[in-house]
Amino acid sequence: MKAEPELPIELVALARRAGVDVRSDEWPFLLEAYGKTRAAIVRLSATLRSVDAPAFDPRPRQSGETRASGQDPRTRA
Amino acid sequence: MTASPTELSLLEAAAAMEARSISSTELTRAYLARIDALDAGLRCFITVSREQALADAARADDERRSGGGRGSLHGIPVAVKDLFDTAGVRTTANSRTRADNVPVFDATVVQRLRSAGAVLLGKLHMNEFATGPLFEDDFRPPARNPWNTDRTPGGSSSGSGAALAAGLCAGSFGSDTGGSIRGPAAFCGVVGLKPTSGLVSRAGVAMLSWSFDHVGPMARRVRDVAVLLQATAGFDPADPTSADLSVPGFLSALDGSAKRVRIGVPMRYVTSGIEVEEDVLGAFRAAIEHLRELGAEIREIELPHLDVLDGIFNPILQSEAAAYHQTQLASRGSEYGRGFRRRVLEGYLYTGVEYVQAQRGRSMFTAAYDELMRSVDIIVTPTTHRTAPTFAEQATSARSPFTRIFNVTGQPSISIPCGFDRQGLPIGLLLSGRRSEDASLLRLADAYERTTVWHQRRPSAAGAVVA
Repeated sequence: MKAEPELPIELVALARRAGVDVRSDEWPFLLEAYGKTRAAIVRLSATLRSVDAPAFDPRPRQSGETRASGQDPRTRA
Repeated sequence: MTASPTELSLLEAAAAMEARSISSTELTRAYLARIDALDAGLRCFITVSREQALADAARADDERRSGGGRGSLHGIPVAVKDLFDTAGVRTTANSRTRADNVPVFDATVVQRLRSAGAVLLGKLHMNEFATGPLFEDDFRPPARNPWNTDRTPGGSSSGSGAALAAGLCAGSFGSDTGGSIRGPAAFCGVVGLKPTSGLVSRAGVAMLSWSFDHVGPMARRVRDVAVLLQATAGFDPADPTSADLSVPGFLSALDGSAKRVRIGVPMRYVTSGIEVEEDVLGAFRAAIEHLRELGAEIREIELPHLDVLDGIFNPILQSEAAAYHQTQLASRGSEYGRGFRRRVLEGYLYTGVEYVQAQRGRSMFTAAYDELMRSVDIIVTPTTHRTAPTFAEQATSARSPFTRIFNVTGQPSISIPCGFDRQGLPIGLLLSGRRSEDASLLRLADAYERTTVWHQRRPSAAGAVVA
């Protein structure tokens, strides 16, 4: 997990690594959006530590597999 | 027959055609005339496929004359958000990067609509690639809300909501990653359904987020939405995320009953956890009381894990959007609009670890809602915390959390009209059910609609043609 973001330098570096140019007038919007989400990411990390957090399941979903829960609604009463 | 056939609901128009009191060609011409009269001001359409629509309508009439009716959508004029591929009709996603994109194939939804006999009037306005605030210098400038043209119709299925409210099409399809069907439905006073994940194919639809994107129907009545869903739902081998679910009869499920439905209401959160406008709150409380009078059991609930919703939703959505657009952002980045760039470039800020944690969080979040849905059948909230903002407000207006919850969990979720604020702007009620129980959700929405009048009101700002 990153520490407090050192932006915009970090942002520019990350985007340029991907070959994408970020204009200086875009920095404030991106920083504000990231800053807002950052607090929720920290809360999420804490929550994942405090519960029996599920594994990340990277398998491709199969046809007929119900999203995320693994519960097949066709078998519900 | 009313003064203008464009005032008919989709099913009313279907009945009129079945009774031979109007032809598809007459109905299509009426819609095209209304588009000609109003759309320069409302800007709902990016492309009007006039010649193709008239040809399709003539074919539908020929088939009907020869006894070949295809059902309720036969000859019905519809329009789709401009991110559904349409063979031979330009599909821009409201982006300069796709200004000249003319697909060779139809998206599966479009293909199924055509197979059901629907007539495609054209392609509707949207936020660029379904994200970001709207600006006048977008590839196509923002659609306007027919209830007040200084207001946004919402996004990103902006043209779908506005065109339905203004009577410029009988039905529509939009896409919804965090509320892009249900928000415009609420702001425009129409009905919008985000179906269960995997129920309606996303093949041939420009992506924003593989994890959260859904496509779904919009119309002026719940029954019309059921008809559009029926025609398009079902497994599609062209979409790797399509689910092989059984498809029930959605229209036949609408029996008007709300008795003993267990409705969960997060009243504490709605009244104190978020700033909900007074008129929206009043309409919401009245709607809950109405559902109680219809025989539903109202239960107070708490919505779990809302404090981490942004930490799940934003890293996944923005990272996937940045990945989808990676090549073009690198080679043609300057051609994207500023609203889109403000949102999608954020994706480069999230690390791989944060993305994976968000996906783990999504599993945790979904499991918690699965548990909640053991005690209630439907969750009811306002669709949005406010009515339609002005264009000046929309770029900075906070997004409501209610709709996004169900993109994360994949549950079906529908917005229906439930009132108007003191400025005459529509208010939406959000009903959300269990995965794969779209029919039960539609049943409750229809029971509410049948016994209320909100869906009957039409916007005067849509112009004199209404009168």
